[in-house]
Amino acid sequence: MGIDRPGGTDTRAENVEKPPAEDRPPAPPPDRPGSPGQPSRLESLRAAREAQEARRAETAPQQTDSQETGTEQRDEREKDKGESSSAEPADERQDAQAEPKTPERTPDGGETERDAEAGSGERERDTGRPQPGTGQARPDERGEQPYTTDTGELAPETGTEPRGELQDDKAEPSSDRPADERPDAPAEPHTAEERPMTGETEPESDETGQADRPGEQPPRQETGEAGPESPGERDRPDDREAQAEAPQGRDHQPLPQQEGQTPDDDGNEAGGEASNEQKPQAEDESAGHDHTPQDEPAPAEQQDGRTDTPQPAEEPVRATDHPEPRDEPGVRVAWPPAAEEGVTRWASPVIQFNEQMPGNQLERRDRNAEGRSGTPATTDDEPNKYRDLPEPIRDRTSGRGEPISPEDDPVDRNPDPEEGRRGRWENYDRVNTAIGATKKILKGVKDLQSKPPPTGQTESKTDASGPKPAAHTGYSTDPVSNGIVAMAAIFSGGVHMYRSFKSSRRSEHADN
Amino acid sequence: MPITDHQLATLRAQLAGQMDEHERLLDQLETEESQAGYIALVTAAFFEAVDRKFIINDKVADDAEVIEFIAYQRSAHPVAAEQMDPTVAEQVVLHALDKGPISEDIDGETLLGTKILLLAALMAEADLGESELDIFLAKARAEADEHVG
Repeated sequence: MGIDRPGGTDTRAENVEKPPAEDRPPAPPPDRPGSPGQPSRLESLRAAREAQEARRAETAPQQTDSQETGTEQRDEREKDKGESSSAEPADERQDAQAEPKTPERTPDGGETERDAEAGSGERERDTGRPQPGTGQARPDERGEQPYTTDTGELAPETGTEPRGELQDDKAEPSSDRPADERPDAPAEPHTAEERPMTGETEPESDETGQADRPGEQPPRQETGEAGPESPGERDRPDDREAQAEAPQGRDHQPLPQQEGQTPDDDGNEAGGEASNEQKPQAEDESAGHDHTPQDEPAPAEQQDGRTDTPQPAEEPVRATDHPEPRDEPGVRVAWPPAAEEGVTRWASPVIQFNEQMPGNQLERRDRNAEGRSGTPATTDDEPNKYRDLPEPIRDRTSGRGEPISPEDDPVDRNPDPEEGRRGRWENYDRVNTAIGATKKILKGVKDLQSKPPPTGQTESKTDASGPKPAAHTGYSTDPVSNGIVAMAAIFSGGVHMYRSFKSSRRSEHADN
Repeated sequence: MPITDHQLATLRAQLAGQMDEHERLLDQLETEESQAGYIALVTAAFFEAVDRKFIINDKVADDAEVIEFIAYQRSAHPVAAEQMDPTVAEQVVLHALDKGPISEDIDGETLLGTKILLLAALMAEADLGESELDIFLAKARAEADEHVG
C-alpha cells in the first residue's frame, strides 16, 4: 500500500517527511512539518523498498492479470506470499504490522480502511494527490471520483485535506497504528526520492510523470488507449486495497468497484491485511518478471507523476497493445500485462465516464464491451439514430403529416374549370332521349325570343346610382316677382279700363 | 359521334329566332344519334351561355343574381314562365356554374325543356350578331364534340 503512495508523493516528498511525526496522529495530512523525521525516514526507507516491491508486485499482478480473476485473488496470493516472504526488512514487517492494525480500523467501516490507507499515504505524503483523490472517490465511487481529483492539480490537496480529517477521526479512535502508519507515510516519500537512485525507479519516475498528466490524460486514455497506465486508476487500487499492489490492484480494482464496491468494502479487513502481505508477493513476482515492472510499475510511479515526457512514449505503445487484447482475447493471453491493461481499460473508461458525464459512461462501457474502436462505434451509433428517427416519424405522421403531393391534396387543389364543365354534363344521360321537349317548349322559346310586350306603363330602369332630380319647391323670390307681375297686370288693366271709360264719355259727349 | 352541321344549323335557327326553320330542321333529326347529338349541342350551348352571363373575369356570379335573372325572365315572358319552373331553372343554372346538384326528381324532358328556355332567354338578352352567334355556336360545338365525340 505505501508503495503506491510514495510514488504519488514523489512530487512532495519533502513535505511528506515532516508532517508524519506531528500531524499524523491528529490529522492525516502528513505534509505538516515538525513531525519526528527519524521514524518517518525509517518508514520512508521501508516505503522505498515497498515501492520497489510494489513495482515488482505490479509486474506480478500483470502476470496474474492474465487470470483477471480480480484483485481479491491476488490479495489472497499476496497474503500467502507476504506471510511466506519474511525476507523483507523490518520496515516491511512493521508495515505489515501496521497494516493488520488498519483492518482493525476497517471493521468500523470498509471506508475506514481505505481512508486509513489513503490517509497514511496522504498523511505521510502530501504527494498522495492521486491517492487522496482515489481515497475520496473510492468511498463514494472509486472509479469516478479518483479521476476527478486526479484531473485537477488542486484535487490532490483537497482530497488530502478531507481525507486527513476523516482519517483523523478514524485514526484517533484507532491510535494503535499511528506510529506504524506514520512511519510508512514518510517512508514512502523517501522511497520516491530514493527511487531515482534505483534503475527501476527511473522508469517509474517516467511513468509517474504520466501520473501527473493522468489527471487529464487518464480519461483520454480510458477512451482510447492509455487506460492501464493511467496513474489515477493505479492510484485508486493502491489506496483501496493495498498500496503494494498498486498496478495490478489498481487496474483490477476499478472493475470490482464498478461491479460492486461491496466486495472491497466487505473484504477490507482481509483485503487490508492481504494488501500488506501482497507487497512481499509483488516483490517475488517482480523479481520473476523483469518486463512487467517496467511497464506496470508505472502505477506507483504514476502516483508520483513527476515526468510527463515518458507518458506519451509509453502510452502510444500501450494504446497499440490495448486494442489488440480487447479485440482479440487471445492477444490478452499472449500479453499477461496486456490482460491487466485490459482490466485497467475497463476500469479506465468508467473513470472517464465519471469525469465527463454519467450518461456517457454507460455508453462508453457498452462501446468498450463491444470491443473498442470508439470512432467506429460512434459512427455506428449515429447511423442507427438516423435510422430510428425516420421510422417513428413515419409511423406518427402516417395519415396526417405525411407529405402529400399537391395534386392529391383536395384542399390545395385549385378548381379546375374543365372538371366543372365535365361534371355538369353528368345529367346529359337524362336529357339525351328527351327530344320531345324541344317541340313542347317552342312556344316558350318564341315568347322568350320576342321582346316583352308593352305594359302600357313607361318602363325605365332606375339606377340608384344615377343623379336624382331634387324636388323643386319653388324659389323664395317668386312672390315678389309674382307681385310685380300682378301689379303690372293690374296696372295695365286699370289703364285699359280708364281708356275705355274716357272713350265712352267722349261718345256720350259727342251724342250730346 | 361528332356534332353535325345539320344539328348545328338546327340550333342556329332557334337562336336566330327562325323558329320555322328550326322546326323544320328539328323534324329532320330522326335518328336517336342525331337527336342525342343535337341535345348535346343544346346542352353545350346552354353551358356556354351561362358562362358568358354569370362568369365575368373568372368570377362566378352569386346565386342571387341567378335567381333574379330567372325571376325577371319569367315575369317578362309569361308564356315561357308557364313552361319554366323557377326551382328547376335555378338548379339547372347553378349546376351549370358548378354550385349545386340537380334534383333527381326532375325528368329529362323538364330538364331539357328548361335548358332550352333558359338558353333562349340568355341568347335573347345577349342579342348576339351573326358573327358572334357563329363564334358562340363554334364553342358550343367544340364542347359537345368533346363530350359526345
